[in-house]
Amino acid sequence: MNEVDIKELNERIRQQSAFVDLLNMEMGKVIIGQRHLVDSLLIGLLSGGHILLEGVPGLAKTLAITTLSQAVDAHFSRIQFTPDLLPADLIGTLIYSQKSEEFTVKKGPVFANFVLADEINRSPAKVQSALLEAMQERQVTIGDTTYPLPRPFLVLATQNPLEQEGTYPLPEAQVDRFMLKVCITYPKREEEKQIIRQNMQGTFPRATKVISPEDILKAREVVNEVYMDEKIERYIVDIIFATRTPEEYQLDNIRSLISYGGSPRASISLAKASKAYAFIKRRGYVIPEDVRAVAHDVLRHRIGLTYEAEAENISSEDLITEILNRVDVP
Amino acid sequence: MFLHRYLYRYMKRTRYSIVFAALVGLMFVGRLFSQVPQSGLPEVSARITPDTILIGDRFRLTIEVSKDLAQVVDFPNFGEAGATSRDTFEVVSVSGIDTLSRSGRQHTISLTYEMTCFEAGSYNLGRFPVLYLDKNVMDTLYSKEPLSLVVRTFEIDTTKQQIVDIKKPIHTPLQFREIRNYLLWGLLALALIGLGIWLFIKMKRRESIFAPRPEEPPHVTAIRALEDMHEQKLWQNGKHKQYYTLLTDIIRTYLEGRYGISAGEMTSDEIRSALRSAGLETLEYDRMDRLFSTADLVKFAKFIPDADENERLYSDSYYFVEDTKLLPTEQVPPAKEESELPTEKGEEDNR
Repeated sequence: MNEVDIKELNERIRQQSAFVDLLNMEMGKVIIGQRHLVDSLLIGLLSGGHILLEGVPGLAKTLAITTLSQAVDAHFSRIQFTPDLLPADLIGTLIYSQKSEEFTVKKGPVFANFVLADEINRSPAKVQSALLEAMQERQVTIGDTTYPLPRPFLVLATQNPLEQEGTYPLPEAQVDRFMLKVCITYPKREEEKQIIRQNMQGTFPRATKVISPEDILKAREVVNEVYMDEKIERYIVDIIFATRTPEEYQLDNIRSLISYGGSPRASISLAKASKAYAFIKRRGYVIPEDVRAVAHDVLRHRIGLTYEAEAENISSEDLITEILNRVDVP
Repeated sequence: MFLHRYLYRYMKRTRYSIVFAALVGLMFVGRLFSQVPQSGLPEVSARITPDTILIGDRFRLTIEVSKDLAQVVDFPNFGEAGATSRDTFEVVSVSGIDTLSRSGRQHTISLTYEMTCFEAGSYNLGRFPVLYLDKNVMDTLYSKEPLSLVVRTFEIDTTKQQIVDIKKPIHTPLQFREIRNYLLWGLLALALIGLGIWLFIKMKRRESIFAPRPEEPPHVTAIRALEDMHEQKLWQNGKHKQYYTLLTDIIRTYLEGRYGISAGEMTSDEIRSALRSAGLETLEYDRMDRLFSTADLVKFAKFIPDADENERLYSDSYYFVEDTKLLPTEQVPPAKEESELPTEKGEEDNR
């Protein structure tokens, strides 16, 4: 690749990513603040990764996804996970029709472009597994037939960090399948004032369709073309290795706080998310800023904490910050 | 029997054990007929000098054989030199076979054993055997006369002896080599103790063990590194990526030293915002902004700037360091009371 190529790629990405501004604008009409959430949704959408959202109730998690599906003109479904939910409620089942005297397929809510799995940790492991399998395979088997899920397929699962009683926490192996874990915080004072005003107006704004699912699929192909230099790859590997063997990066102080580090899936996710972030920023190449911007969301749920860390009240967030501050930037 | 044992050992050594029994028989026959002179056979003679010795003294046993050139003889083996051949006798050394005289085909050879004895007494050593080989004949020949040895001991008249005390050690003058090792080890121990005390004191005072080198100002390091880099002619050789990596690394190190910004672990954006917080002038900020923007493109987007741009960014970096360097007067802590401020005269003195 030479100078002309990168210019051409930059230009192409500038054209292809034009919808990002439109999408942001449409979402901004409905969602006030939560820029990070919106960016994360776009990253997930463009890189084909699923997102685990963690935040207290009422932070517009569902609204954000609904708005995104409206703006993309995609099919959206919401599943409230409860302890008595069954896998069939999720993926669908075969129903016997007395009229035709045969089994007909009743597809479940998972057959949608955007699936909101609300409070995923409220359901037992078998339901979680059914969803996570669908996420991984992007297909569902009902009876003897396998049905592909619609494209794009994006699962956004939510977890409530406050109530842990009567929940079924996701095992580490399953959490690893989410590309990003986004922690949503409260809006700022000004944003909260705007939210009140918006809700008092009586008419709630609604996002209009600005892009089709096919455009998203095309954009994904362009995202894959975003240039990632070998230096950036090395930087990503350094970050992931620092989570595994911190002592090799002069991080002996956090060695005892990490029980396990990021998997190769973490490296892949970090690279993909960095490319998507560069695309959102309308750049044809990845820079260290992109990696750092997504590192927390990619690694947050992939670093295991020891009892010592929990006793010290140290979160994976703190460890990632420490790692990012120590690993040399190319 | 003494001789029989020698012979047996001799036979064993020469590996003629197969005919051992025959030899023993021959030996007895030889003894019976040894007094009878036999024409054509070698003549064996033996002598001991002296035949009377003081206990522990040495004596020499010499065995001589007169024989024809074609005849083969083998002298007895009393064991290795230094080994005790008998309970009472010890072989000190054995000489090589010596030729004493030669007349036509007849010649006389001898072998001398130097021996000693540590038991007083009178010993009858008997006659000494020599093994004789000639074609199909194998025989043992003996010396003509039996030999004897008297070993005397000291005669002590206990009635005339006085009991004396044990002699005291002899005092010889002290020599340096005797105390040299003690002296060296002592000095080494003293040096180690001294070093230990010094280290302990240093650690207690929290002082650095080695005197720290005066720290080089960051701008000096940066300027030197920039000049070194410029001499490498990296971009001229197509190594643009290397050129910009080195250039930004030098500036990052300088920023760390000059502004205390951990620029090494910061992204370009983070460095920009840190510089903004550091209150940099617009000109300097713009220089850095241009440098990091272009460097990012070169490093991560395979962008190849033109020669002017490369040189301009080098100059920007150079003058950025020059213009923002800390002058010595700026390093003086400013917070001083007015009364503590040096007077004009004092300043002059200081200068």
